[in-house]
Amino acid sequence: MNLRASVNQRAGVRRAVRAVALAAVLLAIGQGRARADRVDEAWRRGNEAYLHGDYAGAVAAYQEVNRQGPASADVAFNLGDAYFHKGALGPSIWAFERALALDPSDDDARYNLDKARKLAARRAHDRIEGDDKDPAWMRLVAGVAASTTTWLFVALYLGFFAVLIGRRWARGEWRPALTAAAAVLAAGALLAGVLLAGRVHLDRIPFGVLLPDEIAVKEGADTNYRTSFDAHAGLRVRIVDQDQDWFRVRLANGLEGWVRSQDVGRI
Amino acid sequence: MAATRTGTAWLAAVLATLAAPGAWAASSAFNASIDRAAVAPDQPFVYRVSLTTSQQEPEGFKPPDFHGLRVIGGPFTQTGMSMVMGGGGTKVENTVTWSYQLAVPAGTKGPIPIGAAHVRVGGQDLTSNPVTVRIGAAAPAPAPQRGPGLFPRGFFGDEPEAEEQPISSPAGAAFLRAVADKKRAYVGEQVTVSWYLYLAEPQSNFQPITQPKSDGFWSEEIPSTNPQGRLAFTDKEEGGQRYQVAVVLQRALFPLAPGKLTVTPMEAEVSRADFFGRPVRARRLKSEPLQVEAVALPREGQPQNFPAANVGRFTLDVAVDRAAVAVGDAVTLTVTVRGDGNVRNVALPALPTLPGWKGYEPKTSVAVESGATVQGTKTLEWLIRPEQPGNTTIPALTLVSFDPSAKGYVETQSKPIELVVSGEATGAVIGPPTAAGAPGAGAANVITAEIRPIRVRTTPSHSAGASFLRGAGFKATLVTPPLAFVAFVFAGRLRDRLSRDDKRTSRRRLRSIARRRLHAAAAHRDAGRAPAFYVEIERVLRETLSEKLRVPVGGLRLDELAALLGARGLPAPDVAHVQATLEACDEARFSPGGEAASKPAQDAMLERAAALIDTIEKAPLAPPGGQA
Repeated sequence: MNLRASVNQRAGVRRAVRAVALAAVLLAIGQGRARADRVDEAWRRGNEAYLHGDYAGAVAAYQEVNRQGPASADVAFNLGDAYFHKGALGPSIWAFERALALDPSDDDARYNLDKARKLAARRAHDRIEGDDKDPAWMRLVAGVAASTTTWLFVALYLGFFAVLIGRRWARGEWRPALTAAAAVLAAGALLAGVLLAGRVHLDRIPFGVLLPDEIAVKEGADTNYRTSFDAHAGLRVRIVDQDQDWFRVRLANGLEGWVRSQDVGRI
Repeated sequence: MAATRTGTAWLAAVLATLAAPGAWAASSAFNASIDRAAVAPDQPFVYRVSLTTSQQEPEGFKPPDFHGLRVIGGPFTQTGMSMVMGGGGTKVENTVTWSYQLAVPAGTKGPIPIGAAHVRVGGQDLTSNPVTVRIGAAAPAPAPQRGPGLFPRGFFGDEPEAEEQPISSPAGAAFLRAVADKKRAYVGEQVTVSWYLYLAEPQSNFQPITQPKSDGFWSEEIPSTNPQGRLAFTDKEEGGQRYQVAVVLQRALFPLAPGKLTVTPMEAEVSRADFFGRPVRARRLKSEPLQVEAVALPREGQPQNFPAANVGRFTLDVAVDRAAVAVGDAVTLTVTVRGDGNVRNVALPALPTLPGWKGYEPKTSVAVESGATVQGTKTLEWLIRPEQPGNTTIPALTLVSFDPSAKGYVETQSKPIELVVSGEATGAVIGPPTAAGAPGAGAANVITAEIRPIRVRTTPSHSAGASFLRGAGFKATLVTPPLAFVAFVFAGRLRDRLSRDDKRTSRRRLRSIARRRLHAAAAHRDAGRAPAFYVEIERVLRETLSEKLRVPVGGLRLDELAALLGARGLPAPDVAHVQATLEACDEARFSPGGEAASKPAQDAMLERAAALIDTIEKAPLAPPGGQA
């Protein structure tokens, strides 16, 4: 094979690789667009169903959005409203809790969660004796939206390195100022990084909400076990173990028991 | 509680029996009865079944089949004990009575049998006698008999007396009186009617039989404020007779049309309680009918199509839950009317048409506080959604009502509300809003005041930060800046190093060029392409000189080149050598048939060029612009 033939063959391979890559990119973009369209369509369908009083239809549509789209505080909020009007207070509380977990600054979700909890308490109220508050770090981390923490950290982190690089290019008189700016950005990035690490750790701690109006919490992972205690819709629990389709849940005061996984909505 | 009392009685009975010198033979009786021979439809009566026995405690009582009779109350259980002397000893008899309050449903034809009740005593099953209830005119309760009472004593706040003489029935001993706070009222104006019970003697029971009818009125019952519905009696003297008086019923009536309207009498029964708490000496009472003259609302000042229910004193409040929204976001417009009057039926002002807004079915809710004056709130909630950006004004809404105290029409107006919509238009649909105002309109609305409404923007927002945090992009963001910084530092240092080694780099590049060109020239020589060979030699010499002098010399004539080389410090013999070599190349190129085309000549030229390049490389030339 002479040099020219070899060159021609390589050019053909390059063209083919480029075409495949382009096709893959276009396909990915097309699939992403199609998925976004499906999400938007289900979202609109849910809203229309809700506004016409078809709450079951709204719940189904919002759940479809949840399955297909990225986590959204809006979807969780609307789902909570739909469950509320459907009379399912446990799932409603779960959805509002989820909306707040995604966006702790969502005042509407906080307001509706309060309403749903008060309404649930009218039916049955679980008073947890010896109820301890979440640790301070947990409250601090949960008080800031994951999105806010992430973007704050990324901005400070990138800013720090940008200033470092700029400092090397800068003239001598600029360098002290840029050094100070780099130090401030480093400190900020460190704090934001700690907050972000706390968020990641918190996300790995599974919390849930009990969904049925009334539920018998068992001593073991089977219905044949004795009932440890009764609990009601909307009770916030921590999931500490799993055995097939049973969760071991822990209340705020440390009391533990087993419930079916389908009876717990993970936040 | 009954079971405990029964157990105590039986324990006493057993002790008494044991203490007796000789217990009588055991015997039991289990008999059923009703308290009257015939009952009228819906008239309450009492069914009793009593067990008298000296045996052990009964168990497993089964009530009879009542065959469609309505069970109003029961079973009530009462126990008693008696000691019977004689027969050579003391016999202890215990009595247990189960009672039910029953009624014959209207339309039932009699007679109605009541089946047998069952109980087990000392291992023996006992069956009561069946009883038949005859349907007939309402009969008074029979003469009192010993047994348990059905109704708690002092139910009406007074203690029944033990005397059992018949209640005399003088005309004013007990009566019902209906009183209206006004005999003449405008259509839609509240008339409060109260029914009073007058008692000259204390009674134990009060039972309404026929409720008054108020056709032609919209009626709102005013609930009793007394605890547990007890009647609150006050002393009052009338016609020289002292009475205890209590309000037994109060209604707010709103005339629906002009004319003389009648409220029919109320009928009720009062009775006393005997020693056992049973109702006796029942007396039927009936109030007088009431007439109210309803006057049409004055024509003067009356707006066209004025709703007749808008009579009273009302305030109007219009509000939105947010004044600045994005296209697609929902806004809840709340219209609230508060005041005294028939708020349940008051007509709300019609909702305006909002171009560029889509409206959903409004929801109306009413909260009535039925005090002495009926008052409350009627609220309309309307969910509207903008479909295009811009400013919109909800115009002032007007509520017209007739104030009976001022005898005139009053106009209440809300303030206009400005709405600011941001974003882009989502569609051209402009929904005419639903007119509201009719009572009960919009029952299928989806908005409640209890929770905040859903978000209806075009696309749900999603937490990009949270998604980014969990994706590969975040890891890349973490890794890339330090790597970029390290690469930047490394590249800078390399650049510095390279700039320090400029001469060595230049020499390396020079050698590279020479090697490549000489190699190409050798290839031409081997191929027998003499002209190309010399072209390549000339090119390599000029490129080497250009690199060394840092000045392009490709276009210089030979004399110019020689002058430049001399000026930059190349020794004169070397300049001459360069000039001669280039002239030889020119000559060989343009005389291809000469000796120069031979291979030995080309070999010699190749070596001569290589040696010359080596000389040029090593020559210490002055930099551009400088002099040797």
